Amino acid sequence: MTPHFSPDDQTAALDGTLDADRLAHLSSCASCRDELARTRSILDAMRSDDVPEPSPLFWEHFSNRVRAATSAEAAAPSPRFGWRGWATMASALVAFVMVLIFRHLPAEPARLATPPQQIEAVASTVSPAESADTEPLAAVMQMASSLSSEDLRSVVSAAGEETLLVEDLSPAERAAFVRLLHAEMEKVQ
Amino acid sequence: MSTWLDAQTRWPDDATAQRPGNASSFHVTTNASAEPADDLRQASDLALVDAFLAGRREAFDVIVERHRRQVYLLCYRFAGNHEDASDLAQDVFVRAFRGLKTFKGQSSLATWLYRIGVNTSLNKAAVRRPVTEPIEPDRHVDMGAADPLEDIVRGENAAQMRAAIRQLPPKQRATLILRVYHELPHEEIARALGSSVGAVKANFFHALGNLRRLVKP
Repeated sequence: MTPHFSPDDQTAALDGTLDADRLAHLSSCASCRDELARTRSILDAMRSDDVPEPSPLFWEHFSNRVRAATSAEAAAPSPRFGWRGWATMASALVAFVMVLIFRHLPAEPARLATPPQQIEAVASTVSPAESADTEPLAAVMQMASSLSSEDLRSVVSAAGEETLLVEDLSPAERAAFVRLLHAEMEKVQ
Repeated sequence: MSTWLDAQTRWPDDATAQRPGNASSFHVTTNASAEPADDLRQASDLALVDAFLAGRREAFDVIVERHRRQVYLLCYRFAGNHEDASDLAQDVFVRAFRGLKTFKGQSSLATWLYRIGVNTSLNKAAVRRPVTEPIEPDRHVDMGAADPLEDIVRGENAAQMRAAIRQLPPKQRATLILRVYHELPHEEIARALGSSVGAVKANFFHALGNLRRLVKP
C-alpha cells in the first residue's frame, strides 16, 4: 500500500498535475478520494459565489475618480526633498562658505591659498558617520577654492574682520558645524 | 485555462531583458485630458509604463482602463461590498501612480497591481467598517427562478463561505482569493505576495483545510 496523499499531492491533484504513481494510489484508496472530494466541494462552493458585476456606467465613473485623484496627487507639492530643496540648500551652502573664506582673504588680490587637496584632507577628518552629511559641504568647498579673491569679493559685498576659516576649525568645531548644517537642511526639508 | 494574466503581454523576468516599445518611441505630451491615442490603447503594459514615465499621462488612463475590473474584483473579495471595493480599487491605482517609476518589469504589471491590491486590502481591513452582507440586486431571491428555494439555499451557502474566508489568516486568505477567484498559478501568487512557491502551496492547503472546518456541510 502506497502512502496516503500529502498536502503536496492534494494540491497537485487539485491542479491536475498529479503523477502516475499518485494517481494509481488515488484510484485504489477510498480515504484519499473522499478527502479530495471534500476539498473539491469547498472549491466548487467558492467558485459558485460570483461578485455582482457593477453597472457599465460605473467603470467610466471609476476611471474619472482615479484620474481626479492622481491629478490632485501630481499637483500636490512633493513631500520628499526634491531638486528644489537641494538647489536651495546648495545656494545657502555656497553663500555661507564664501562668507567664511572671504573673511580670511589677504588684502591683495590673489588666488585662494587653500588647494583642493587640503580641503579634501579637512573633509576626510570628519568621522565616517558624518561623511554622508558633509559630502555637499566638501563639494561646495571644492568649488569655492577654485575662485579668485576678486570673484569672491564680487559675491560677498562686505568684508569683515578675520575670524575663522573652515579648515582652521578643530574636529569638534567641524562636527558642530556639520550638525548646524544638518539642522538647516532639516529645516529646508 | 486562459486567465486575465495570460491576456497581458508578458516579458521575461530577467530585469535586464530589452523592452520593446521603449519610451523613445512615444512623443511627450502634457495634455492630461486628451483621450488616449490608438498607439497607447494597443501598446503592451510595459510600453504603457515607459510612455507614462516619459511624460504621457494618458498612458496611465489606459493602464487603469485595462486593469480596473480585475483590481476591483480582487478588492471586492476582500471588502465584501461594492462601496469599499471601489474605494480600495481607487486607492490601488493611486498607489500605483505614485510607485510606477519603481516598477522594474520583473513581474507582469498585473501581478504588480495584484500585489498592491492585496497589501492595500489587508492594510485597510483593520480600519474599514464591519463587514456586513450587502443587499445587492444579484443577491435577491429570484422568485421567477425554477427553484426559488434552491436560490435561497445557494445564497445562504455563499454568505457562509464568505464569512469563513474572512476568518482566515491574511496570507491564507490572499492566497486562496488569488488562486481560486483569479486563477493565478502558484508562481505568480508567490511574486504577488512576495513569498516562495512552497509557502504559497502550504498556505493554499491550510486555507482549504480551515475552510472545511469553518463551513458546515
